[in-house]
Amino acid sequence: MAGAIVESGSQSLSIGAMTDGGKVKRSGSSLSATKSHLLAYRTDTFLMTSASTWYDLPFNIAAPIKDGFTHSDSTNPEQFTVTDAGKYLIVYDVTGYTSNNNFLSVQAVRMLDDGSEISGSFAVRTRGYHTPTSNMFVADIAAGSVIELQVCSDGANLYVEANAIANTPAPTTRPCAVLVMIRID
Amino acid sequence: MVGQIVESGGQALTIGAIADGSMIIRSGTALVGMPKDRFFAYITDAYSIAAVNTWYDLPWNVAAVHKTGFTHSEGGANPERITFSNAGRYLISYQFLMSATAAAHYVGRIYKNGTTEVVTSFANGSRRYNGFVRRITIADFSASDYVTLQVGSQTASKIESHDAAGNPDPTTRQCAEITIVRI
Repeated sequence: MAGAIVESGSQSLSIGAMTDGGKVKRSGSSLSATKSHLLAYRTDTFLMTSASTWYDLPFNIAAPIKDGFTHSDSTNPEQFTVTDAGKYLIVYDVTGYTSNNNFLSVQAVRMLDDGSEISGSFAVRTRGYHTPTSNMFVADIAAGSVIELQVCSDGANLYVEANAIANTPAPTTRPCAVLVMIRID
Repeated sequence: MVGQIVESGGQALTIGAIADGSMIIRSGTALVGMPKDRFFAYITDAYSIAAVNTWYDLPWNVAAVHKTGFTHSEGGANPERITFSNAGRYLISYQFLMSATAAAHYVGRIYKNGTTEVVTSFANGSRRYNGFVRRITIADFSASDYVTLQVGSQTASKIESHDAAGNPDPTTRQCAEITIVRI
């Protein structure tokens, strides 16, 4: 039968669209293959002018790896639009700094899906100068959903920033925020 | 037709080599087994950082726990090197712990072929006596590329898992680990 395979139980499975390089999976009565993953980062300082306020963090560098996502580094660079519905492994690292007033701040991060916080995405860091705020979680995301990373601090005029630290070897690229998303199901 | 399946769009896909237990991916006009490339190693012995402001390749001088699709010699000339057998896109994660006599910043990065920093692999830790540095990123590699985990500090100190009084002991107290999985 063209376009179908037959299970051992004799149920027919149709062959759907298969993205090159995609992992083959069963979806209902058909087989399809998709792959979605993203790597995005930011290097510029981002100012959080007010305390206790959520800010959308713009990723205004073209994502070096972007398969199954839509993202513009110039128009709404804080938004990542998911092409395929699925279950995603999400990891973020955001580095905060308080160079303006030597204030040891507590910073926090969360992720939004179409404006609503994704359960389990919130993380808070240890009070410190360069401490990263990190989290890894799994979320179900619908096709067309807009994903945003939000940051906040307990003091005004504080930064998301990865500044150079005296007497540490310099990198080629100094990211202050890194976001990884991989479809796992 | 034996050896083919046909997409809903009518295109025939040849069934290529699929190793037992492999996930299946489309590769051009064929379905093939996805290489099960994965690597995981850790060390428990402390590693000294002798000089400030200097990158050091961290040696993985123990046998890797998982090593499929990679070559690595814990007892050879370059135990810091992890070499890819297959070209592809990989998830890379590392973490190391620090122990200093004074609060210090540590930094880490993944370095490719001794010449190129993997983009977004650089991370720094907070200023602590016993903190950590970690990063997860994605990168493309060619067959025969190798990577090292480079570490640095602003004080002469150690990569070490501090045995803090009052904490229960683990079975294994690793001070650095690296995981690489083909995606």
